[in-house]
Amino acid sequence: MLNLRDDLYQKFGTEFKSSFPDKGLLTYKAKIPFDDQSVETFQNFFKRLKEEFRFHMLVDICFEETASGRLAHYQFLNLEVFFYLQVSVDLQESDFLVSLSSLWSSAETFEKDIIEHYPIFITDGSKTAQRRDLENSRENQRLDSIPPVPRYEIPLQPSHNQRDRTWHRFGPHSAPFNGKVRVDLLIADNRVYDSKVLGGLHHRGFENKVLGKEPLSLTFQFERLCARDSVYAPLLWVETLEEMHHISVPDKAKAIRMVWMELARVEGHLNFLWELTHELGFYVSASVFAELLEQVYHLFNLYSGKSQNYSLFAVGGMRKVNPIGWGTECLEAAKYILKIIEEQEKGFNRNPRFMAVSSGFPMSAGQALDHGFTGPNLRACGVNLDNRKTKPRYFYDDVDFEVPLGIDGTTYDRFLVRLEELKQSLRIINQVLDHLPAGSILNKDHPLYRPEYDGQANEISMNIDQQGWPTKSLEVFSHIEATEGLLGYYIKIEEGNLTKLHVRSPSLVHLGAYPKIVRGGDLAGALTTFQSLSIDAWEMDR
Amino acid sequence: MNTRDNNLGPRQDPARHRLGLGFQAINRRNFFERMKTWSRSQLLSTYVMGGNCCTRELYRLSGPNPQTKDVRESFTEVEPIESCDVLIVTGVITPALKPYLLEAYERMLRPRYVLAVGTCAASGAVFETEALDQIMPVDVYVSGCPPTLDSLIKGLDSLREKVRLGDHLDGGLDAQS
Repeated sequence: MLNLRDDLYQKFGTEFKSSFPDKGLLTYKAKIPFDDQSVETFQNFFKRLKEEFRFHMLVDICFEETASGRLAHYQFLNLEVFFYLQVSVDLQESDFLVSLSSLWSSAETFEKDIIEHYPIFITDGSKTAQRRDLENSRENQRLDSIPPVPRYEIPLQPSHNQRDRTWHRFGPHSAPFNGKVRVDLLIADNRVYDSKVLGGLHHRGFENKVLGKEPLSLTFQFERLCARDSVYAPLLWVETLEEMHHISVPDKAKAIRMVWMELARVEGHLNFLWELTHELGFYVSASVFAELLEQVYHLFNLYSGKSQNYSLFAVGGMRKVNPIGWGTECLEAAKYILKIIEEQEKGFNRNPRFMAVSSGFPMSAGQALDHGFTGPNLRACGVNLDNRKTKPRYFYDDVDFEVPLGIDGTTYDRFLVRLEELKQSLRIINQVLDHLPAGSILNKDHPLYRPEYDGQANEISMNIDQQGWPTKSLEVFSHIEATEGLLGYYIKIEEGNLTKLHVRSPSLVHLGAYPKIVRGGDLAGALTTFQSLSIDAWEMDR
Repeated sequence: MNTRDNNLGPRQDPARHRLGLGFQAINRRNFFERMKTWSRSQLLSTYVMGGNCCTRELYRLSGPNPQTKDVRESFTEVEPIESCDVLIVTGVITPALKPYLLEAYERMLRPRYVLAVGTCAASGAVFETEALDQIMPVDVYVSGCPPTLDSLIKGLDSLREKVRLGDHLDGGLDAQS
């Protein structure tokens, strides 16, 4: 990693600024003169990063409008040394953003997200810059342009005539797109020729509404960022605050946070298994997974009194001490879940009936990296990337667990990878609870401590003058290995105020690649693939 | 008498609840009318719109939980939306989602019933979005962020009771405006 850093210093000068050196994040401020001739210069700069410095994954693009001008922040990942690099480009009131979709396919998704929310042009190197704004993109997908067709009415008669290809609207009124997104598919002869995805149905301005507020009051909102689980998003927020203020966390709180993270993973994967098996018609297995899910909800209820949105994580530790006997309940539930999962695995592994409906649309490792996949969807393609191994937090270094990998990147692989990951999560829970450290659960010796954290006061005693943000200017990209991939926050603080928040959502990336995956495949497989990508609309639309 | 021609909906007669006219109105109906609403209330087909944390709690109702046995027996989730009696809406009502909600409401069976689950659908909550009753009449609200399993069961029970009494707010979208 040091060599890479030195090389970067040598090639690009000493304008690198380190935000969190221990996280391996470097920031490079590029000032590229911007006009039509410089498009090639711009793309060559990033091409060099990809080819010479092997930043094969574009993790995120964050666009920012300030009073002084416009900024674009690109986050990259080098997979050989697991090194994150951030390149900030000063656009200097320019109306153009150069497209990087020729280098990384995932750039197209991020750029589409940017032009839906900001008035900016995207140019792809040709002399005439094309404007693709919100109105134009929505114009083709108006409600009345394609009438809704229920699934049973889709003509599936064999027809090899190209003229018979017609657009059909799926979702948000039909499974598996239930209320999440709208997908239009161009179908003929039971084959998908093209597809368009219209997201943003649940866009509620999350990133803008948190600006100017106090950091501690935002934990409540971050619990409602993801619909899939309410552990990773608030926990990452709390961790970021701890890192900003250099607040230490007691060992016991670290261990219990680990248990909660793994329980959330178990919950997310069980939800996935339940929905997918139900969609594919394996109803008995689906009800078994649903029953296991109830076991996990029972554990959540015992600790926090709720089955989701727990209000449990505080800066410096946990709000509640683990109840007496909760650890034993966890161990018993883990034992039971493991037993049932192993039984189910025997039924699904190499099951010809299951493989017939789930082994379409293979995806290579290179394609997955190019699309910016993370989490189990990436590991199903055979790429060994797990932040719990590469950047271990808490006691992930000390516990034994394996990272399961798939081969083809099909629905079948995604299913089995999640099944195996679930077993590994239970293994981690067992190890942590066996060696649960003693001591306090909350660090009270820090400026962000509030008496209501540990039940000392019922009312919120927030001091208005004390904002809770660091006084110096700071730029952070913090990330965590959530259930479905890399969840990240880009945070910018200027003069004690939060001026920019951007959420890196794994679901957005997975949905962005969906049209390319399903092109040329059969219709039933296309619907199953959508289900297996496990899209969380609430997290994706922010 | 057709159920749709019944003009005794609460929006038309504001003094209805105060004077207890609802009860008289039910009794004034003939046997077949009551038979129709009762039989309809025995099995209601629902459709869930929304993709947030309340939906996760709602799907628990269809899981093998002994607490939710009655709900599983009297409610079923259907597709397509043309054959559904109850529209269950969760999550925020954004401008992008609004046309699809209205479309779903148009395509439902008549008379239509709407259940708003969670604080987001009822009032916009922390996200300060539009409330559901600004765009369509809502029969039952279930509060909570997200609602507990018990309150969901109670909400569905009270909706079922409304269906049995034929007490709906469905005068069509034009009547509301």
